[in-house]
Amino acid sequence: MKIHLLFVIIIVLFAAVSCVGGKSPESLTFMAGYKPQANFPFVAVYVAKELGYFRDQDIEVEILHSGGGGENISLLLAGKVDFTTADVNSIFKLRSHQEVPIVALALFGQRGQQAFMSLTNSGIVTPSDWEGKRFGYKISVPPDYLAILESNNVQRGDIDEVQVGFDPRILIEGKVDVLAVFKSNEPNIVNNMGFNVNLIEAADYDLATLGLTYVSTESTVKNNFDNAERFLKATLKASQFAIDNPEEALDIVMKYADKEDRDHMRFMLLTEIRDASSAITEEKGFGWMDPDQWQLVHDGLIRFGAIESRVAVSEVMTNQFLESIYNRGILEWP
Amino acid sequence: MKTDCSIYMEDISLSYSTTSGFLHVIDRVDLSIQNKELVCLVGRSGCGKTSLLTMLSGLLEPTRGIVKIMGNHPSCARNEMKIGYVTQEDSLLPWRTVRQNVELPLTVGMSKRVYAGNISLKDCLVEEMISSVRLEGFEEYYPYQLSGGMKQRLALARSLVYKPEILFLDESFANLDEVSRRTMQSLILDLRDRLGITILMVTHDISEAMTLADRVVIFSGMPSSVVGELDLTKVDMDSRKIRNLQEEDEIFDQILSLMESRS
Amino acid sequence: MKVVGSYKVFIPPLILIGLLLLGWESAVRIWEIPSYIMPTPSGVVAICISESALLFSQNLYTLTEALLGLILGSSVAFGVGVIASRYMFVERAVMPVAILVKVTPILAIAPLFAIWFGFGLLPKVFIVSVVTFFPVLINTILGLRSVDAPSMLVFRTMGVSEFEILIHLRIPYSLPYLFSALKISLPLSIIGAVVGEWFSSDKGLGSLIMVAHGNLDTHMLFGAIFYLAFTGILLMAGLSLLEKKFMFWHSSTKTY
Repeated sequence: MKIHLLFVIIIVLFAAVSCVGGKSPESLTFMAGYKPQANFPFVAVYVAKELGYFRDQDIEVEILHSGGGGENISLLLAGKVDFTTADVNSIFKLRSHQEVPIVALALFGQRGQQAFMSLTNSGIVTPSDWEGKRFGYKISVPPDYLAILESNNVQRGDIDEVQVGFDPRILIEGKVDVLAVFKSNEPNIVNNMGFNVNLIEAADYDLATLGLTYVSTESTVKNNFDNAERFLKATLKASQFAIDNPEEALDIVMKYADKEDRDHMRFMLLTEIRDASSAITEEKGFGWMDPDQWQLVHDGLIRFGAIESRVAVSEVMTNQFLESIYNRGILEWP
Repeated sequence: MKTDCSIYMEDISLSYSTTSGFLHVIDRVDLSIQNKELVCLVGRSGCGKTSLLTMLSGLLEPTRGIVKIMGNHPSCARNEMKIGYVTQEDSLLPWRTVRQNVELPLTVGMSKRVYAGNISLKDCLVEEMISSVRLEGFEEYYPYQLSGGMKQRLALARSLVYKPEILFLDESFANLDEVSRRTMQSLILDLRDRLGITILMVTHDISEAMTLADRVVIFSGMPSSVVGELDLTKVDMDSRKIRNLQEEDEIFDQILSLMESRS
Repeated sequence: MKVVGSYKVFIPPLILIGLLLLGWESAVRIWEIPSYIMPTPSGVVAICISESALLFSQNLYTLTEALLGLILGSSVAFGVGVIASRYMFVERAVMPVAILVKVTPILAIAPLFAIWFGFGLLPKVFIVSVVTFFPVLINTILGLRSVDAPSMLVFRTMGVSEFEILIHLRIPYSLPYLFSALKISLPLSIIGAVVGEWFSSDKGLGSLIMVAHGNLDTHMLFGAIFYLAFTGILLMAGLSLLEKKFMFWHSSTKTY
């Protein structure tokens, strides 16, 4: 009788353990804000997946890519995607114009990637050389540009501003004299075409700029802390791996971006890695967000009319996940 | 060769190349029509009568034989606007009024050179022709507003306004009702007498041929050829009234049997 | 007997549209769908009114680009079609190129137009003309060869020249085909202008749509789309009037 009871208990325990041990990992979806390439936040996700960091955190992450038309944000808001990327300016704009409830969880771009490129042989070296020239921008006039004009006392009315597409050949063909670009992308493309370029960015004039972040919704922040924390832990660990082992990280990137040129991917990654560190990340950990920097960026957007209604910085970013992931600047793993 | 003929065909044959060889449509036709003669070409539908007219218009080259219009190749007559043509189907330009349809031939081709500087003469000719076909009062009407008979009268006016010397009628009255057909027949005879034109009329209606023709040419067979001719001027048909019904029946039967002889 | 064209004909579709709009408005309000996911019809109407000056002025740019491009594309297509309908070897040479142009996604080549032709009106006009070219070319060739056979026979016996046949016969007979082509090309011209603006303009409804899309401003997005749709409807109505005027003689313009 006792043996029989013992036998039953063992079976019940075994069944219970099997259920617990057989629990499948949480499935999450990440959508990159553009095509597969070596933008640092994308790289972190690729590396985390390939090196098993997500698995170690007991989550499964499906990686999707946006076409670049902003549908990643729409899908995030519709609940089809859990995490995506967005730059800080866009986060402020969406919150200000449409009260879009997205929140930044970690910051990759401690400095923004926006720059203004001209060909070396054009003679355009400083912002004052922009007067009487044609400036090409994408979608809307960048606030960085306006900040540079003001800081250098350049008259905006003396510049012919035109909306252009994403092809840098518009600069090479002389259709514009100055082109708004991403530091990690177009300058290298144009160099490879055999042209030397000159870059001007807002940071040259001590103007505050910030770059790409991981974002999710307010709802995720409130109701899915655990998943968000695991996702960030894995990707921030992967970020550190990429910083320490860029070539190995590139090997992984090329599995996703197999149609891209490896050298250009290397340029992209290394450029963004350079802008991913700041005093606060040294102190508190990679990905940390400085509210004062965010406030400066916000005030600049208000000043130059990029946004009309003020936004509370605390509504659009949170370090709460980073606070739970890092201990005195060291990432706690697993 | 009878050089004084308006229309002359000698040993005309027509064949088409098909996937299964050659299709012989017309075989060794000889036909000559004098000035001011009205000849009816009678035959079953599909026996090649229209092809004959197309060759006479110079728009189709015979496989063999000679075609002459007023002693020259038909294309000369065409370029000199000496040929008029009225089809069975509606060939009017629907976007032009009655007046504009009649006027059109005077503004194209050789006529353009003749009448370009003489608008009043052109207008006069147009008015006269509209009157001749009894369409006065309908000058500003469009073809879709006209009856079948009126449309054919309009087509006739358009084909005669530039005073051709030869008129081809290709089953022009086939789609008309009896009254309209008789009106058209009467008009043809009247215009032939007034304008002195040579008329070759294709029809499958034997009675119509008998009513109108100076001569009936019967076309039959496969391939088709001329199987007989009847000179109706030798039959006493003064004002086209048959002297007696028996004679009419005999002529009708004669034509019919010739049509059926090589079907 | 009811007269065709009576205002009562419009009642059923208006009721249906009204019900659909009511359903849409209710769904968004009841389920509290945020505006950046789906706008409300009332919100779209409100922005069409409040931003009417902006939407109207931008619409004029897009309309200008569309119409100029349509005129250019159709004219060239018509000219090429006249030659191609006359000479078979021209048709054989032109058709593969025309098909290649037709199947090339305009989104892929629109940025190149900005590189080649710069900014302003020109690249957009060229994009529209490329997009509207093919339907007009095909229908021109078809239409010019579709002359009523008896009419052609009668004309040829008058010894008229090929040019006179073209002017007096072929072109008028091709009008039904041309108007059919224009009914296809006209909406395409608006789409082409919008796409062109995405790559080389800060003016026009296309540009406005892109900015609204980036800002998730669905009310402005739908407002711009509504203006485009309304413009398209007006232009098609205008085309129908022209068709009735020039093709009064054709069965397709008659109501029975």
